[in-house]
Amino acid sequence: MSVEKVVAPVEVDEAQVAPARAKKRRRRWAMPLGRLAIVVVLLVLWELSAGVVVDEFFVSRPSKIWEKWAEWAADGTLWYNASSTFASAGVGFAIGGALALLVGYVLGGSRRLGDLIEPFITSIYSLPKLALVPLFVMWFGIGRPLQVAICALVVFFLMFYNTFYGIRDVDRSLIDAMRVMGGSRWDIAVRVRLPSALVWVVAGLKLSVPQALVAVVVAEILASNRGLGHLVALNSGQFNASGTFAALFTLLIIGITVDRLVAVITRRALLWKQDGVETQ
Amino acid sequence: MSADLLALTDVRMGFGDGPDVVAGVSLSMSRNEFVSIVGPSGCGKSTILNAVAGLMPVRGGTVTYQGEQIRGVNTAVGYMTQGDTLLPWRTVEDNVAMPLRLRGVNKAEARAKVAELLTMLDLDGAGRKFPAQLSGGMKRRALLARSMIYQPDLLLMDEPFAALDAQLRTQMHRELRSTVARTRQAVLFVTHDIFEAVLLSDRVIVIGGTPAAPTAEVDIPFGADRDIEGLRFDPQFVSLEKQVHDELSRARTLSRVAS
Ligand SMILES: Nc1ncnc2c1ncn2[C@@H]1O[C@H](COP(=O)(O)OP(=O)(O)OP(=O)(O)O)[C@@H](O)[C@H]1O
Ligand SMILES: [Mg+2]
Repeated sequence: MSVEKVVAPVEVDEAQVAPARAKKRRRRWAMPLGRLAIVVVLLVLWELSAGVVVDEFFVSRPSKIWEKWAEWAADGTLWYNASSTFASAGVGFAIGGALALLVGYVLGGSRRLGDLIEPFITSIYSLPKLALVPLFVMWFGIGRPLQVAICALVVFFLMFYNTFYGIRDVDRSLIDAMRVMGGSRWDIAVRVRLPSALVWVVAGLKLSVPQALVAVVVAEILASNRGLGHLVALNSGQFNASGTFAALFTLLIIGITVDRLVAVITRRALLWKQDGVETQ
Repeated sequence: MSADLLALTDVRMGFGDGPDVVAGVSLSMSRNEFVSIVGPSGCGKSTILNAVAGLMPVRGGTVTYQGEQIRGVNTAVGYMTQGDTLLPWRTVEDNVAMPLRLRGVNKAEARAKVAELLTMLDLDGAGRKFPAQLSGGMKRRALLARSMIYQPDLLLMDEPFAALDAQLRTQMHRELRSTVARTRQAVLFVTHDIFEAVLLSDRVIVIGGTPAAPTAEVDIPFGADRDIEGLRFDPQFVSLEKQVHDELSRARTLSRVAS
């Protein structure tokens, strides 16, 4: 719901408003245009300095990277690897997220159980996740199961605390009000506890979704034969700078796109919270 | 005094291991009666309402509603809490409809009643908004609508009009009084405002002391179809107001001496 809609219509002098509006529009375009200009300048500098100031062997040059990228896009390499990364991240996110919601809901709903179990989860949380990779390799081998497992692990911890505290700290007076209105335990669970936790979960997507991708890419770099992380590792292993940069740029673009998507989704989901959680 | 609706007998309450907040509270209400509770801030007015709603257990004594002792939550009353208890993720419409929906009333029927009530409370354009988009007074009115929508025999209202401007408050006074006269609902009304208490009530109960208990009761004999606008100029009204005021001052000293 836009704020403009609720403002009562007031009489305004169009002639006076028009220039101000044009100015506002100009200002809105100034930022993105400025950023684009910076990118173009950097790319041009890179192109010109490669082979002159720095050794092209290490840094390649934008035109060559673009060539490589176009070649991959045409022969299917890009899609073959990107789809694998997405699939692993999707499955890992779903598993880790579902577990986090479930465990967070159960532990958050019962103060005693929560107090009993939560320290264990926190102690595992404080362990560097990457230290678990060798163990996971032992259990899952290399390849998709490993990527999914690491991704699920990372997502679980990012979403567990949001769910746990979201359920636990739900406003007592809201629950009481529902009870007097005749709400059953079930009504309270789905109409108060769950939405109150989802606020935090949705706010946490900003972090957990990109981290799911990061986890998969790291797993692919460490051990795999498919995926964007694998593409980075493979090319750098062959001292192919153009290929390495092409793979990295792909990750960069995916990262930015995912971040924007999540921002839009969170903003829609938290529409009711006007003063709300950061979504930008 | 008849007590066919609500009876508190020697009720004693407190928080956790703390001392009694209220003790020896006995009061009763009959159907369609409008009773106000006034007392110093922090003396235990909201606590008493919570006992009637069954949200807080009593340490001693009994609370009887329509002849039955209350043990769990009392879902037969409407409760307008002192704090904001609208669900922030639901629109005003959904919030107001909630008591009906929880009682299994279908959506279309609930919607019609909500619209009617929102109009009555001057909230016409606010139905689709979320609570965060409302002013303090609008939130109070949305809460009021929610507590009135299913017409319980007893309405508990904890300082319902505190956040409203004078004109709106007068309008609400009139609406509330005429609505409960029409629907034959009883109201247990907590307020700081002596004028408001005398204006609306059939009876004003003053509480005070530590732990708090009723210290005085003042009957207000203006009847159900009183003239809300004109009453303030009535000499009897003024003298009743003074009487409640004096009782409240006395209750305040009691609380101060004891604590
Ligand atoms: N959750 C709580 N835990 C402990 N003490 C509480 C709690 N809630 C209220 N109290 C205490 O109980 C007493 C009565 O509180 P209550 O809310 O009933 O007062 P009140 O008469 O409604 O005051 P006000 O007019 O300011 O709303 C206060 O002294 C308060 O400190
Ligand atoms: Mg209170």
